[in-house]
Amino acid sequence: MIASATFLAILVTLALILSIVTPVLLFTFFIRDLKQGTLW
Amino acid sequence: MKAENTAILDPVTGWLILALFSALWIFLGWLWGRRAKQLDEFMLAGRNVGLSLAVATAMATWVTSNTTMAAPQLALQLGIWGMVGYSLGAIGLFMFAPLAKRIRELMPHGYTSGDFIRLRFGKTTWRIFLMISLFYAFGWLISLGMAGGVLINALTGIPYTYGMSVILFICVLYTLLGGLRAVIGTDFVQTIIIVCGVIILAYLAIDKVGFEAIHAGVQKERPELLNLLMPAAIMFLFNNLLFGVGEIFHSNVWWSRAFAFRSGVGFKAYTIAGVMWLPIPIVAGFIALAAPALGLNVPAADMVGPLVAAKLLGFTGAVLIFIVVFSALASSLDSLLAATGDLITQDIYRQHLRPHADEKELRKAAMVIISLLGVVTWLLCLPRLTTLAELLYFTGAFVASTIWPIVAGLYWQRANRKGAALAMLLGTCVGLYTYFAIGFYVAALVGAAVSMLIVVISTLIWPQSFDWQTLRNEDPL
Amino acid sequence: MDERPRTRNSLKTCQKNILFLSLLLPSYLWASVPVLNGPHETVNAGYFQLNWEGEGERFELQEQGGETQAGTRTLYTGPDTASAISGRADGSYRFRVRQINAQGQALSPWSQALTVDVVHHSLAKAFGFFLLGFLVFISTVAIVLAGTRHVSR
Repeated sequence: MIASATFLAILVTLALILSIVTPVLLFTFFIRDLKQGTLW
Repeated sequence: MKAENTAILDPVTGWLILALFSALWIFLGWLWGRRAKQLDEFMLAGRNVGLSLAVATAMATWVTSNTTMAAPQLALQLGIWGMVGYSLGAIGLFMFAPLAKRIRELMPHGYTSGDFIRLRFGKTTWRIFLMISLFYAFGWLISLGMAGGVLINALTGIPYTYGMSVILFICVLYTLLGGLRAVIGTDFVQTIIIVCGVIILAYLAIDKVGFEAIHAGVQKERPELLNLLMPAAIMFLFNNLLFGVGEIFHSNVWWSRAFAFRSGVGFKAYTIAGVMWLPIPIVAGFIALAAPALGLNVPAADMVGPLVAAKLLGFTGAVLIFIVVFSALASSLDSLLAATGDLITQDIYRQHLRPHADEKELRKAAMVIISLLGVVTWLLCLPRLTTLAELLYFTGAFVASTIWPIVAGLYWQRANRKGAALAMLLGTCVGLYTYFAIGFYVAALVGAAVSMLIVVISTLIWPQSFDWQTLRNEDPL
Repeated sequence: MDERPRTRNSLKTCQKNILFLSLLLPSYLWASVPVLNGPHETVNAGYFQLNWEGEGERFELQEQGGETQAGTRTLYTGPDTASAISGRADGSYRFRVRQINAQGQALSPWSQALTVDVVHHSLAKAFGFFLLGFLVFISTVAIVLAGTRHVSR
């Protein structure tokens, strides 16, 4: 059972999209914490 | 042996980047930690960390050199399942989410994972646990220190000993300055750097080489990497998952965060961190598969990530991966120093040596212990032993055998001390045996299976009745 | 199919040539033959590292046709003294290395050939461990979930 190029492309593209969300979300949380004074 | 004869950056650039980022971490450590006078502030960041920093610290700590360097390594060795299996390490974060909530509720005044085992299972089990925990901590510390030295050497030609010494020294220094606050604060910055760097590299690999060429290259030179039925990789999947669960469930790195996060934050933070961490090993590991298409010789499997990055981007790529891996190393090294320092301060110094020590003395002891940890790690890193992943995977059997004692201890009233101790001991022994008899990719799995069996059976034949209040009432100071 | 004997023949002539040339060219007498090292035991996961020791700045690593593959091909030329091989299917692989100069000309005879046998674990064994891991994982998830539900009740 050999993984095709398409399989590889889908797997990596999905992962890439998911990881692009990370910094965006982190900053959103950060600003919310900062505004509410709940940073630490 | 020096397998790699071509450094990508010159030493001057290397020293410059090192100096720049070291200065940044130290400044931030000082900035955020200068108010940490009390012990709770220093060890647990005031037990009031909010969601954004909590998510970032859980994620950054879990993204270590293991992810940025070993994910490509495993993709190169075990192929598609290697990198997917690596990303299953995220399951450990998910599964710890409910535990973090439970831990904070059961032990509002707790300090370490050792506290829990001592109160729940008694002193003998606690001492076995401490040995496992410290062995793992040192394994991880050494692998991080060594990774630092190897990476700096390969990328810049700065001798291994210098690079390793610098990275250890910097992390010890800013952890001393700011305690857990410095660690958590820098983790936020480091997470952003790591994620952005990895995304850029993967994008470039796709853009410059392309999936078709990467796939064709692998199929020609390393065909089994694309085989979804590669036996060793199939064994590796759950082994890696259980290894990750064992690491997170037992290690004080994660427990101290469960104590440090504000009430109600733990569950959410660990869940979100898990989701965010999941794609990172695939994105980071994938670039290793570009090696054949790029016609790259990989002298040692653990260097494939940096080599591909440098080949793709030349000078800029080498600088980028240097910064990413330096951040990843620092974010884990500082956490590990702080959490292991706490464990030794609380469970060995206070509980074994100085039971009547006051807060001031403990605060001072914590600082001395963190410095000593740095020195010991440095001494152990001086001779460059086995390859990085091997060193870390050796601890798989140890940590995986703690999963069931901890979970049962947290949820089952009838789980007992004898069973927990036996589970850890036998799980470790049998796991280690398979490490040598079969391979690194089964040790954690077997350790966890054996320990599960023992915990279940021992709970049935020697049921103990435990009063949860014992955990709650304990006020460590 | 008739590739193999021809390869072997040309190899022989090649070795003869080297032997002959080494009598003429002093550089062949000075250059030491690199020593190629690799795994001593059968490889079960398809990956292994080859490394070599020898004087000189550049090396050439070759794979000689094994059971699965005919012909000889160069895997690497350059200054590194090791190569991580991976993703190999079951089979017997032969490697050799020699010292070369910047123009790619040989400076030393070939090293002694190294044979690496790759025999992957059986799929039955692999799925056995897979199943065991799955069971342990599912049980762990189950008691965490059950425990969490019990506590919140």
